[in-house]
Amino acid sequence: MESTTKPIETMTALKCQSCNAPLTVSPDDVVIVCGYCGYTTTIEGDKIDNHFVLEPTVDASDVREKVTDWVGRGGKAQVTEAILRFVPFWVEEMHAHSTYQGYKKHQETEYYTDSQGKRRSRTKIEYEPIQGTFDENRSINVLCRRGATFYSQGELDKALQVTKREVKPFNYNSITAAEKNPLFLNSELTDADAYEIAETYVEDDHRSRADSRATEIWDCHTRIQKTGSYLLHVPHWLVRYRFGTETYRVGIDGYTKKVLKGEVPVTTAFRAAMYFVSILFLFIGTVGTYFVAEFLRPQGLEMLSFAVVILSLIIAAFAIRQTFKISSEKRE
Amino acid sequence: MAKKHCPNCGGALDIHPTDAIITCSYCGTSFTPDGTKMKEHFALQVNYSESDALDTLKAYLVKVPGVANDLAQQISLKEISMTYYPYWVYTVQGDVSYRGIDKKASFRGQSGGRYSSIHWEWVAESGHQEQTRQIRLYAGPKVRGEIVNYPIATRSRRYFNFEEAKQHTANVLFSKVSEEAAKQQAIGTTKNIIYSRINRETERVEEAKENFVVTDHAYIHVPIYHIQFTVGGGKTYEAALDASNGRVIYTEIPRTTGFKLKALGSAAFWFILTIIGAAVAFLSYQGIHLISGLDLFYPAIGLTTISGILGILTLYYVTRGVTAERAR
Repeated sequence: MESTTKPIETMTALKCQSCNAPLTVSPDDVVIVCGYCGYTTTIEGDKIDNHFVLEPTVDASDVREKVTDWVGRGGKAQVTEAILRFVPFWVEEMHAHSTYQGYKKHQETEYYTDSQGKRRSRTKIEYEPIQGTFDENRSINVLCRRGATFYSQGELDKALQVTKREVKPFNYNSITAAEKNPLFLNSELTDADAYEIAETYVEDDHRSRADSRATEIWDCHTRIQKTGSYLLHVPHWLVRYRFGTETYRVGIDGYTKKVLKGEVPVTTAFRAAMYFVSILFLFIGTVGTYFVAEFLRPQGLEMLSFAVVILSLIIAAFAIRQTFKISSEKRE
Repeated sequence: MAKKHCPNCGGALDIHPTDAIITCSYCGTSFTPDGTKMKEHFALQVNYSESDALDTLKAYLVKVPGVANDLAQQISLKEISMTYYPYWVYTVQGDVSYRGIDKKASFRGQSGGRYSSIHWEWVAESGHQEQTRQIRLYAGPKVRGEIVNYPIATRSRRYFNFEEAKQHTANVLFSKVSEEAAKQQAIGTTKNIIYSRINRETERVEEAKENFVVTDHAYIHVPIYHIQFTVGGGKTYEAALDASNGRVIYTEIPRTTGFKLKALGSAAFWFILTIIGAAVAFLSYQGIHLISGLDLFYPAIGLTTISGILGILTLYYVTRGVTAERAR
């Protein structure tokens, strides 16, 4: 039994090299931040110096206020919990160069008059060679978690890729000024793991950008050179609120203060309205179809009135789905 | 069923011929049928007690349309049990250098920047692909798809703590997949990913040098609560919850009779309209007009399709259970 039931203590017996506090470590962690002093090392014990942070711009009371406002509904939402987490990313900087070759197919219908004087059409196919290069410096943020672990994780990842932000050298004291007990997530990826993911991402990005310019790309070669990397901790608030007897979650970007994603109550009034919409479109799909068919009949095109049926069906089906949905999610 | 003795404590265990990794129910040691002890055996920690799990389930259910608002008072627990489900998690680093042929186009018949025809020729192509992937495999006996496909969070894994399992009188399931089989499957999946990337660049691979290295692997048991409950007596409903993070994996939904009747009534209403629409469309098609001078064929088709599909959707939405994806 000795090998299979090692007590948990042996996994967490690591101590911070700087302040000697016990570290909480899971077997997947490869970069560890001390929760007491912020000292950051690899699992082998090497200090990480290129460590940056996005400093949080909101504190717990701002977040509570923000969520109550965001939910609206007469301020009936009661925030029960707001947790600040610092989520690790490796920022991989690189120079990427791609060359691609392919073609674009052009298909045009030409009308002409043949020797008997009849109007005819023919399809003309032409090929346009497509080639080009991408040459750029990229900076890719790689979220250092292997599995999805917290609400709105994907949205935080996405938000970070699109907005430019001011990073600051990691300074434990200036972080704790905003929140006394910050929670640091450890990284499950080493710098090298993250670089490989970033490389694949850029390769795929170049490939899909080349693909979008052509009918077929037969050759796309990418050369990537790493120019730098650093560890970045990004603030994220997870907020829970009660609405009546129900509990909902909201994820907030701690840097931009924006709601990344949040659950909102679905009211009975909303469900009733959606049910009414489905009945309305049944009506449109029936009576409307009659008038459209009558209108098109002189041209012999009454078959086209099926379009009204299909369109009404899509809207009515969507409304029925809304009527019975369990919860609703909103982004800011 | 056959008897097998635990290599650690000697306890006799009933095993099935397809079991590949057995966990002793007396001492918690995991071993293969040939008696080799597993060195590394992980589990996710139980962070939710039975009552926490039940509270989470109630909080989830009360948000579902058709569930009584006072569900929390009406619900009564019939049975709660914990099962440890086995998964393999492999991290595979694959590296393939290849030589092959690729197609290259040349164009003929220029007019402007365009050409009238395209011709393919074959050219030599070589390259290199490197990918690291974490592959997760459910290893236990046949169970519901929600559990097989459940995206376990490997992050919080600890060494398997037999005391914790015993404390919850948990049933620890045996793996049907051996370490070697899991490894081959994980390598196979990584290989497919790499080759799909290579095939994007190359028409045909003629020679490849492959190297697959397992950088990390773990045998992980995930504790899951199975809950049976009733609402004000009556029918028994089932649910499963992750005991480590409290996520609802699936649940049956105790909708109130009033809601079900309303839903059925509304579905019946849709279906009556479907039949009326179909009948009118049929008569119009035969040239019989119910209202003289009005051709109701197209509107009747509209009525029958839309109301039919709305009826089916209504029935679907009010009867379906909930899977992990929706419960997230």
